[in-house]
Amino acid sequence: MISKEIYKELEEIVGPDNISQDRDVCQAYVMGGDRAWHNTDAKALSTIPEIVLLPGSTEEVQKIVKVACKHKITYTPSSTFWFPTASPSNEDALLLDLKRMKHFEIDAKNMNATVGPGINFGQLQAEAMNNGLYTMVPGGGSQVGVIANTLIWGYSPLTYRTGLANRRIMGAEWILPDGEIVQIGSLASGEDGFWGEGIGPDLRGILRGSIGWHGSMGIVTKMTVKLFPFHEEKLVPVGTTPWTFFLFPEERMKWYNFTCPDKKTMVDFMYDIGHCEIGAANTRVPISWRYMARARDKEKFHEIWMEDREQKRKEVAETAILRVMLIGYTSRKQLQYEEKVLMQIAENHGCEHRRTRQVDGSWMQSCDAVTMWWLTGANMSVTGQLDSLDCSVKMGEKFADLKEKYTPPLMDDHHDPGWFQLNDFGHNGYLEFMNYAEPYETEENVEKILDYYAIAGPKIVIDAGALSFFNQAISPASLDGPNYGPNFHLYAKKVKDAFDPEGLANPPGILDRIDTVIDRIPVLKAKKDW
Amino acid sequence: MSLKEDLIKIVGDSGVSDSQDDIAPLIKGQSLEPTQMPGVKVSVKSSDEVGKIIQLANDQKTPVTLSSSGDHSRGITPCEDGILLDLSNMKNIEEPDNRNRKVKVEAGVTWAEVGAVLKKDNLMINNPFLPRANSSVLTSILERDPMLNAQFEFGERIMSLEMFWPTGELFRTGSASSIKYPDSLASGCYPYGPGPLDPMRLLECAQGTMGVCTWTNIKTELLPEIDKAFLIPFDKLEDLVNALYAIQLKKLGKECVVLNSQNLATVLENPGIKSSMPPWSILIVLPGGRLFPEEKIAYEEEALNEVRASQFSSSKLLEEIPGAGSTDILPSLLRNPWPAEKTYWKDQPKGACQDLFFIAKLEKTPAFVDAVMKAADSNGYNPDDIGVYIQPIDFASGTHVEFNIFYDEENADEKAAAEKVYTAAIEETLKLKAHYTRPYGKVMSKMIYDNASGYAGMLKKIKSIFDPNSVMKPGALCF
Amino acid sequence: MTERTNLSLEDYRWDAQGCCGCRGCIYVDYVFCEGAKNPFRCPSLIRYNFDVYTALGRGKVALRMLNKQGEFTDSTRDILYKCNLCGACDAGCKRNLDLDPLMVMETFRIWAIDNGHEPPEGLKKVTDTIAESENRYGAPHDKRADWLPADAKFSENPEMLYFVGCNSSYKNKAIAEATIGILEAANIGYALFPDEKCCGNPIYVSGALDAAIEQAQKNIDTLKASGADTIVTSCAECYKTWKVDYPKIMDKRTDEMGYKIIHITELAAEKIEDGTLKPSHEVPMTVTYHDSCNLARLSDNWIPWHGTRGRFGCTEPIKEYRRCDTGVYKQPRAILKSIPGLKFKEISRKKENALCCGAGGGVADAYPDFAQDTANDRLNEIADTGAEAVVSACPYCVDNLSEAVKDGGKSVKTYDITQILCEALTGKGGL
Repeated sequence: MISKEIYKELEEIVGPDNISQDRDVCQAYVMGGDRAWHNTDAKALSTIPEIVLLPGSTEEVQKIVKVACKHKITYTPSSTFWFPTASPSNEDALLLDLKRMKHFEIDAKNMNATVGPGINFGQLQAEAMNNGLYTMVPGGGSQVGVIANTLIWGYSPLTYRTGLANRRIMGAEWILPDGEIVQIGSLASGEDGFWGEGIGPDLRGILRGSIGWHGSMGIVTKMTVKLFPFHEEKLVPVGTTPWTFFLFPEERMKWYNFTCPDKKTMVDFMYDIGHCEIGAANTRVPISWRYMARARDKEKFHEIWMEDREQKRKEVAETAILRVMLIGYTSRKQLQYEEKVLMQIAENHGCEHRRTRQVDGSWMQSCDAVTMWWLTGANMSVTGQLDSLDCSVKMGEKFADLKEKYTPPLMDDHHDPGWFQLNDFGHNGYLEFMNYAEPYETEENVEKILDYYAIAGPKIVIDAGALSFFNQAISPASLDGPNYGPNFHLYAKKVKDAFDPEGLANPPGILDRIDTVIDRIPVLKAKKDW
Repeated sequence: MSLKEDLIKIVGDSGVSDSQDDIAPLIKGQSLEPTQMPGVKVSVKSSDEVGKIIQLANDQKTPVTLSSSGDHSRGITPCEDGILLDLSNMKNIEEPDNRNRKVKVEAGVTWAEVGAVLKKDNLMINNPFLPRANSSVLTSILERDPMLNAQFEFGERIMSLEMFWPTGELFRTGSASSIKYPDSLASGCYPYGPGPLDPMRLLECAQGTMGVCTWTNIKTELLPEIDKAFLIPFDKLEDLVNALYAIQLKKLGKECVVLNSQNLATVLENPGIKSSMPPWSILIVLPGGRLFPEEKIAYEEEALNEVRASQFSSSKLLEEIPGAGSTDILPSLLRNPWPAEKTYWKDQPKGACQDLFFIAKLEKTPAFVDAVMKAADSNGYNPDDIGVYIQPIDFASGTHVEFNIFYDEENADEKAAAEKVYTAAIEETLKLKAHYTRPYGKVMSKMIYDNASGYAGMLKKIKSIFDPNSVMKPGALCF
Repeated sequence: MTERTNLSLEDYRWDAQGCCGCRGCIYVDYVFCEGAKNPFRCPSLIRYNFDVYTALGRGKVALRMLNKQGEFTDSTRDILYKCNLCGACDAGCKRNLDLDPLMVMETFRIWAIDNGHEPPEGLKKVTDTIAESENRYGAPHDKRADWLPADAKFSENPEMLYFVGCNSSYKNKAIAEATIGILEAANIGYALFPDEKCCGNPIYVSGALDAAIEQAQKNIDTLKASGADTIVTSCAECYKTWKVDYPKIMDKRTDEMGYKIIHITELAAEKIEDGTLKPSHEVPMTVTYHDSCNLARLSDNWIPWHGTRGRFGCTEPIKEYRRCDTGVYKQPRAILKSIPGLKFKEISRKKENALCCGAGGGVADAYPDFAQDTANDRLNEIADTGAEAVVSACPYCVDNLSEAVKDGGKSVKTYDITQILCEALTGKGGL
């Protein structure tokens, strides 16, 4: 229980309107409990914060952190409250809701934008496109905070051209767990945050790796992110929610769908796209997406998806659909050139070009992937990997095999191997393997799904020698750590301990989180054989 | 047992020497920075040997300085005494993985060596501006020498690496981090992590203070079969800046470089044509694609002409370099290291050169040039003799701004003037908020870190975590 | 309390529980997001910032009450009623989760009243006033039609009855006059709704369901007795109450109610399109349009659903989804664009993404400061369009925005769309 004196101390920092200990107010920041679980670990860990604060500035955040340190109180930062780690996992915690920090400025000439934690990707992309620039919008949705997502993840099909998130961090104002502020990148030289590299060793190496710290290494209150050249022709928004989308300026942006003779050919096709240095994005389209797009409600989807299961399984196994986006960044002629190259590659591989609508509702600015969550009411999450495209394909098959053992409560997807895409202009690939789950939260369901994500999933990735994507944040570090680096967790722990010896920044912290979950649940603990 | 004997136990007799004659070639700096003399040189051939040596250094609390090729043109400051760890014999280049467009090279592999291998498959690694042929690819990229290709998509060339922490423990990054690697599904195509740290970033530009990198997987790219290159002349840098922003916003060209007349004449090895050169030039190469290469060049050329017409109509797209023939020579010139058999271009004007470089917004480059030229003028150095090289990076969202202060090492007055210019230029550019991402040498390092005490404070803390015995080149940076 | 089979909070447990916090309920549809400014569509969140002041937060509070895990405190009441019931959350939720968060909040209010909790004082006062005088202002019931001009041309065999509403009957009488001006210009046979009483919207939004049913029944009985089956309104709130809330509280489909309700903008747009109405008088003005929640995203026909949920929450029988996508969005815009001399500028948050004027859901009565804060937010957005006037199709929106203009010393003019159209048709809109 936090004392009245400490409450008063905190109230003086943010003002009475921006602090609350009211049970109803605090309850809204519980990720587990009554909230639908898109990440199951929250069910086991999330607790109600003792106090919720709405700081409005870096100075206020810093003062709160210092008060927390002084009184040894734990604290959890949250911007748009999407990942389970945005919710406290222990009693008597402060929750810092950062949504009031809405700083935004764009430097179009030098292609960057500086944002506060309250700015989301929908806003950033709209501003970027208003200035002839663009960035990617993550699959987690346009609503996710730019800072939070850039710190812990940062993927979309558009990362084929806009690069991995680590490269997009150009500057950061970072409140360390002890309350001290460090400026990253050119901010450290007194300049604007236009350049991310350090003075000598690059402290972005501490800020994030393949995953982020999820608030357990302090709070970034401002970040400058890189933007990229786009084109000047407008995407026109049309429709009424939920059926809204952008009309593409077709002489500057186009979709191309191809049906390929088989998956191997499709993968070769994708590699060739990278080798020819064309395209804005490309991805395999799971056949289930087509059924989702056709169904006007989830009932219809489930009805048609479960009809004739053998036939569906065959369809999933045999259908290879590739979706490619071309953008004429330079000119309309660029699009014409790239289309010619694309068609030549398609012809070389015997792939058939299919008609598709020249609209977008889920990649460019609006990335909430309408209808994708309808199926099970957001009771879904993903597994996946980061390496080459070939590795993505093989890991997809392994995940599909594993998933069958957990179906139900996972939704039967007829052994679909997930969707994969090229990243980084074809230099690496990305697999995202979707797992829809039964929304009824019986204890058995929760445990089985946790087993899938926290134990069985990490094990098959380790066994294959692949690298899990953000699931490394929901894998037990005691299992993952010795297998990667090796011992990445021990090095990270040294850093954490040096800056947060009391462990106040969002405990149990990303390095101990899933081990804590496993230790708390007897069924999972019994499976701990490492 | 002496340090030398311990080292001999690891690498054998032939790999260890404490002779100054053997050590000197590896520490010769081409800069004004005074050279210090390590106590013993040890040449390694394998990662295993590297690990053992670092562990030994920790046991004996002995400083370690790294040398990958002996090219220290930025100014090396080896530790006095201690170990000089010579990686130049780590020459392995694995069979390029052309499907994933990468090649694995060890620390001692040079630009000339890797270029020769990749050229067979019409591939290349995006290179910096005219490096020495014998300079290490790994060091160059790890030390963030900017590549000439200004397109963002081709950057971040390291895809994964192997390293030893300063305590001597082996570590691999990204998707090469599985303990099963290379017998793993992942082939090391993803660079970051594993986990919440990014050791690669800590190694970058650390000058060997944060660990030892033994190999990297590096991105390879298409080496175009045909290209079209232009020289775009400008009288005023301000006009060039506006043009360059416009060109990069349209994602035109791959190699794109800005030189002043001094540097253009120097790299063309024809000092006599300096006066006929435009004061400022953009050199840009429009590359052919893998398929329909002429058509790719055609649309880019058309767009470049449109940008010119709307943004810098008073300049022309020249296909002739004034006094030096066709621009056809540029792709080859820009995509290769400086030939080993020739005097390095920076040594041609006066025998030695001190570089001064930092990162800045492109729009501020005229102010920086003005400041450095004034610093030269007021310190008895002819500003016209200073070479300037400006490298747009990531579509000119930032630029590497480099000044080449040429001097005659044998001429004490000239050397003294160059030293004064160098120091004054750092001071003046810091006032303009130059972002020195690579503080080489003790003089610069002190000035830069004094100017960024918050960043330096955190670096010191990080250094103490990973290098508790302070063996990796202590004193080189702010720690 | 009457025994009821519908509008129980328990019926919407799924919708409260299914929220994963995706925030579709608070942000403008990202396709229509225009930049860093104005990202939110939830007035309550904009004003109070804590997550509990959103659909996602209120749903969790509702679950706590259902699960008997907490007390209904004064703070709970504030959280529940500091909401405009504007439906912005509901529209947003359809994109991702397809839940009915608005119904969670409406039935939560009903639950609160059923469980003996009072609505906020200001709102209670209004509902008491309606009970006493059949209008929200406490004005004499027999003066309700005093606004009527002497030369009004009623039809003996009316095609439709004009349901004026409390606001235009007693306060903004110019709207009522303009409305009959439009009806007459279109040669529509009309008459006034006989013995009109408050539609009961404030009663329904207070959560007093029994009283709301009683109020509805009075008006429905009157309609039946008149023999007419079509009602025209100029008030968006009355329109939505007749179209959506009456069937909702009666547990029927809108198309089973035995009457047709039409808003004057629907009628006028149709008549302009078929050439019956010809706006010919210039209205030299630059305007923007403020979508009234009641006319726009809240006005989908009501479709009751009772059933069970199976695997993955699939409904049995299959639910017909209402997704805020059939409201009156295009007609007001078509009207404004048809007026000579008038320049129309679209506002940033519009149609289903519009920001409520701030008055809805009983907020103007219960929390007038909050209502004015929201109106000011909206006025800033209106100012960004460069328009000299804002037009709405709801007298309460016009009122709330006008008050904020007056209090803030702002220069933007506020009009009801009937006034603008009547001016364009007759030159006598009284602008």
